[in-house]
Amino acid sequence: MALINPKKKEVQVKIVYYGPGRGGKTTNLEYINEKFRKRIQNEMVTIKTYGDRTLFFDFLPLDIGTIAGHNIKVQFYTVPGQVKYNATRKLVLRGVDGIVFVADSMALRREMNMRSLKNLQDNLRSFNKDVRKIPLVMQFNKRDLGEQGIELLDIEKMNHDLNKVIKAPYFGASAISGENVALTMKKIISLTISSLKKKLEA
Amino acid sequence: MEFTLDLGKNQIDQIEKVLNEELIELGVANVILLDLAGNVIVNLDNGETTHDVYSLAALAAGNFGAVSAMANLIGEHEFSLLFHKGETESIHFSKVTQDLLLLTIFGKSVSLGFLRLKVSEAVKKIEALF
Amino acid sequence: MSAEKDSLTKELDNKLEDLFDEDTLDDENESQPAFSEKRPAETVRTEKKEAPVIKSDPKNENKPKSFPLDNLNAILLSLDWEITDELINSYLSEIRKLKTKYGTDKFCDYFFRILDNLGRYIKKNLGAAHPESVSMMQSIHQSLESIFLNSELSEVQKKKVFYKEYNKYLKFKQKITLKKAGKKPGDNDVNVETDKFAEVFISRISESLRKVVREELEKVKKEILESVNK
Repeated sequence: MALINPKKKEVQVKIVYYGPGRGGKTTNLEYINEKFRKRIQNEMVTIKTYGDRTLFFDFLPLDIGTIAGHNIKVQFYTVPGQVKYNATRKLVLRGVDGIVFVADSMALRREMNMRSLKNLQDNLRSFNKDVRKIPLVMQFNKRDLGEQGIELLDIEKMNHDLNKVIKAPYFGASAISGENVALTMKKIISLTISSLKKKLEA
Repeated sequence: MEFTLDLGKNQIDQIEKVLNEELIELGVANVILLDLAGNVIVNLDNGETTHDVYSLAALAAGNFGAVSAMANLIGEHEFSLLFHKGETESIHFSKVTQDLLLLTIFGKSVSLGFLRLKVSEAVKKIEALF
Repeated sequence: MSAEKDSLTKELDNKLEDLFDEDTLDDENESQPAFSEKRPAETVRTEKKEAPVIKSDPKNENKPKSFPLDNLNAILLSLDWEITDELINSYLSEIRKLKTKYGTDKFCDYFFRILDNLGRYIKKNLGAAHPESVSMMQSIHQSLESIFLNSELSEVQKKKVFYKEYNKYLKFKQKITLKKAGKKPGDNDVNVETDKFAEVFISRISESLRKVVREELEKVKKEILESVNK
């Protein structure tokens, strides 16, 4: 749950990038960190092991200024995608306000996407949260790989697999080239902050 | 479990007062009260530090969660002393209520023994506010 | 949808558009390399590092297996971590033991007195005691240890060691007085104890000084006489 500090008129919002391992969650944040460096005063924190896999989480704090009289601080997190790190994923999900589900468009990864989404649903339930109600944006990543002749799932099929029930806004994207990365981010910030409307206006 | 924390301005003022009197006056460089989601609730310092408190809070919440999980693995409910000692600065963690953590950053001149006494006094006072 | 929500959403979307408009950013970022060229220096990375090598304390290597101050050292280390009544009591009783056994050496005796004083001060004031009290104890302990480890130290050398520590102690006492000045009077009264101690100490130190000077003079006299007689 977002933290609202009535004294400082400050709101801290937690947005988590979720999804299967090697799906591009960290790359999303790295792109935002690089692209908007001039607008971001804070540094990105990553906890990585050898081989560039996220061990615990990445963290990117973003100050977006004043909205409805409150200074809004958005905190982006990624979770480790590898199946075995579920305990860590649950830790990071604690107090989440909004989620970007980064799915891998490669045909080979279809199962993994679905399993990861199921895992998200289970983990949210342990915090009494509903995947259909929490602000969420679907990102179908790695669309660029089609040009290299790699077999991709088409967007409609992915949407059917993953988004039939949730009905979240969705984007095809390429985190590595930056295509739709900012759009995804803007959408999730917008959804999340709108969901806090009542609290902000209280 | 929902991490809703509706602290009023008065409550925050009172917490700040306790932390100032108990810890900043002891010579502690920086005190951060955070929730287990990594949000900063109160941040006080002695005016000489410029730490990135938001990143510190995110990492502290993660670290605390990881260490609690370790405790569970060896059959402990939780560890009562969480402390990282550096050459000049050290960090001490203390659980306040079920959802709150107190992070204290202090230099060489403050002994951990004293810090722990003071932190537990501060924690008692803060808990009384809820 | 209420008009209010509309205004919030609008405000929000305008803000996000302003902040994250990639088209205008391209001009601003011209001088920067493409994002794919990673600049790790700008990112805080906590990567696996080799385990640090723990260096053994060179001082400890000279120490005999069982050393008279071992117990005191252990108690001080514990006090550094945690201050409890139980620990302070065992500290005070350890000081008493050491005083009975090694108090015949006057400098050791002085050190023990100061340590005892500090212990009682912490016991009485606990959390209200000065935060540097334990580091003061540790500093005295180190000097005491250096006297114990160097049995061939002359009285003059021992005195030098003692004085260095005693000056630190006086400064520390001053800090306590200043700290106390900010509090209500009568909260802690280490001064009464230490002032009495200071009186005894000064008279004993001047007496021993006179003795040392006399001894040194005697020695010089003897040497001169010997060299004249040769």
